[in-house]
Amino acid sequence: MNKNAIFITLVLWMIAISFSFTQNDSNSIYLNNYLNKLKQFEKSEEHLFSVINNLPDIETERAKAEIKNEILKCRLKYKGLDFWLRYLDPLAQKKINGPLPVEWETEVFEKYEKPYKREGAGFTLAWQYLDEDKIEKATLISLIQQSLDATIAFESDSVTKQLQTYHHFYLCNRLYLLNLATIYTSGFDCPDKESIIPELKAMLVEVGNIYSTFNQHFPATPLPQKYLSLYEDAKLFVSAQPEEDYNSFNHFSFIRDYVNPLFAINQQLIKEYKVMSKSLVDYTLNKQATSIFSKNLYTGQDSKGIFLRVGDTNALAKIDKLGKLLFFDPILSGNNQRSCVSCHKPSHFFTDTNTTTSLQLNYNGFLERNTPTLINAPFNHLLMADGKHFSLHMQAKAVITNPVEMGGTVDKIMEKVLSCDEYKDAFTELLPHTPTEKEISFEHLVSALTLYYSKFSKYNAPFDDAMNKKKEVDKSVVNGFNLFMGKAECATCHFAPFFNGVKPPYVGSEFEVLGTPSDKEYKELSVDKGRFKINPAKETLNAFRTGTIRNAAQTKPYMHNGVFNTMSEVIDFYDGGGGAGRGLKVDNQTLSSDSLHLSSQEKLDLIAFITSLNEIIPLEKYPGKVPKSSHKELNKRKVGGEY
Amino acid sequence: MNTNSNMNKIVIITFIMAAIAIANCTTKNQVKKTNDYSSLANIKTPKKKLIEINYNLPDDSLSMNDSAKKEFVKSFNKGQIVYNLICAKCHNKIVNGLEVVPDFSLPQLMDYEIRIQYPIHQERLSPENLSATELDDVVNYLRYKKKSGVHF
Repeated sequence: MNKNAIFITLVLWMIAISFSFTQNDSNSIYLNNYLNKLKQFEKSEEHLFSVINNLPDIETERAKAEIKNEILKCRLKYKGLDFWLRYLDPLAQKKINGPLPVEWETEVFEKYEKPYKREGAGFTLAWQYLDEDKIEKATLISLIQQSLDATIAFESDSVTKQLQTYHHFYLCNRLYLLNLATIYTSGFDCPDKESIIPELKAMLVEVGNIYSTFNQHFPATPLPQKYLSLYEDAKLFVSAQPEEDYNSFNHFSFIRDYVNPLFAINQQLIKEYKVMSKSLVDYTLNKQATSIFSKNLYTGQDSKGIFLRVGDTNALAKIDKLGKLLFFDPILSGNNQRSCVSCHKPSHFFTDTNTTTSLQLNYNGFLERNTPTLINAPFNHLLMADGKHFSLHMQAKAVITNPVEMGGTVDKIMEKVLSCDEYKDAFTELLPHTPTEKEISFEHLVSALTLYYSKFSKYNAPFDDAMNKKKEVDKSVVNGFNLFMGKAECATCHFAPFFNGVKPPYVGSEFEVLGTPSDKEYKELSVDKGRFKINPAKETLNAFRTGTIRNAAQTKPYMHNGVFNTMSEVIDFYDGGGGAGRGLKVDNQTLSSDSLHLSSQEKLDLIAFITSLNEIIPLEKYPGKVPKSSHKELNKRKVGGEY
Repeated sequence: MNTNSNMNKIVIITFIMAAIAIANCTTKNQVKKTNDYSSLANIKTPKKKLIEINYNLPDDSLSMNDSAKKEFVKSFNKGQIVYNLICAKCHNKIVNGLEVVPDFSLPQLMDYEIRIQYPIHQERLSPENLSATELDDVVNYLRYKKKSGVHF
């Protein structure tokens, strides 16, 4: 009986295998489109290869121009594939057209591990290499060879397998639309500005072609006509933009009228077609978001901590109330005179706009860095100017126990907090909500704090309302945004919607070396080594995490050391090419040291745009009193602390 | 081309059904998978049963100092609670009337990727429902718990 069964299974296997071979021979029109484009792209890479190889001297201007011309052709071919490649294998994609020679990994899944180095390759780097004083054929060839190797990797079964179902398509498309609103129009991975618009046009056409083969092969889950006709309009809009003058591209209309509405439809389709992700690329993106300019677009940080799974609104309200009390209570500090609110003032958008850097504990001088606002902190990937902390909880614990900040110790704080009946009873009542904990822990306190202050990050700014077509904004705001995305080059580091260093798919933090001075006269570079302290490397010296420009108009002073006091000082700093542009020695500056040539009106427009990112946040009132302790001397402490 | 692929599908489905039927005849019906959630309402959560030592120390435990061992045990115990809370319902098996936590292989315990590997995981193991540290704890628990001899 058993032998028979095995025999039948074997026969059936053979039938199945023979059928699977016949299927491979007749790929779908959609998959063939992918493979053909890949083949054509490989051919153009090989051609570029032979051009470089056959040139006797690559250092002549004529040779360089010829190579650049071939690079442009390759990149144009590549743009027809970017839709897929960026999603299907982001690491291999960076070898084809990555923007940086060296990247230190800080992605979600790696942030708990020691940072490690990834070297880039591909066209952008080859292009930049050609502009260097001394160039060698071997280096150039290696950059292109790596790009070709990475391209071939995209033919593997593990990649093409994903193209057999419709799921990947809507996720590729989501990333594509997010990139249309962030990097494709800003020159992020295209160093030659004149190519940005032509490449964008080519890309829109190629993706339109991907759409039609997709609809042919997956008729049960198609892109609807509504989407396709809006996409056609977007193509018309872009083709009507002047090609020769990149600076006049209307980013504002492009994103508001086309990209964002297309994103909304795609999100709807992801839900409707029950699209499933098998990629870590989608880790933080939220299926429920209906606009790129909405606060639920992605999850940057978990604010609930130990209370993660608490859904009960009553319990959440209790945690919030406790968080508020603790936030204003100097009981968390070593000297019972400082609280969170000492530096994060509600009336100052949860920072302190009066001081360059805050006082140390016990008035022993000042801290090294400017106080960051807590508003939108949950949308960071790593926290602090040097990215030292992975989570809000880690950050809060570090400040409370830092000897020069709040100077508390965990045991002492627990003892003091639990000496107040109000705290003790409320946290005890919440214990059943945290089954992994047997008793009230420091974790409970910190989680209440982060849950409390994170709620102030949910509000929108007038610019969001404009992008969501709820309100109009001034012409100067529109001009300012177009400058931000274009001529002023801000958007190559500050990505929508938070205009911080977290770019789609929102799973990593970027750091930049700007050459921030220690003083306004640019006498010397700030002594703060920044990211180098956490991850010592040539590239990380003086590098700082790119912060948000939301609420910037309300959160002076600026830069890690608070050296600038007005937005125009900051814009002048960038316009002058950062520290290197002012003659400071910054060998690894990532900001161009050339001037941006911004006019005074353009600077005012930029400020108008940044000001339109002021969020409308209700003012938080101080609690009337702090909980009573059984230690009499503790009851002298003041709400909010003393300094 | 379409009818051809439909034919293929029919053949493959027939094959799978046959294979399942054969597999069912040949395997002994010893281990029953508990998919019926209603019978799981009375799972005992081991709230206060954590004193008994139910873990193997990692292979490199000789080089672990006391505080590292303490951290390990803490993570292990937390992992056990979170497992019972979130995972046990689908993964525990009933063997001879007793509920057993199955043994997972190392490739099955792949940390972050567990979150997205299966549709049900995307919902249940979302970052909103299971934090990164808790996921580490669960993996620690499943990796170092004493073997039950029942494979997942």
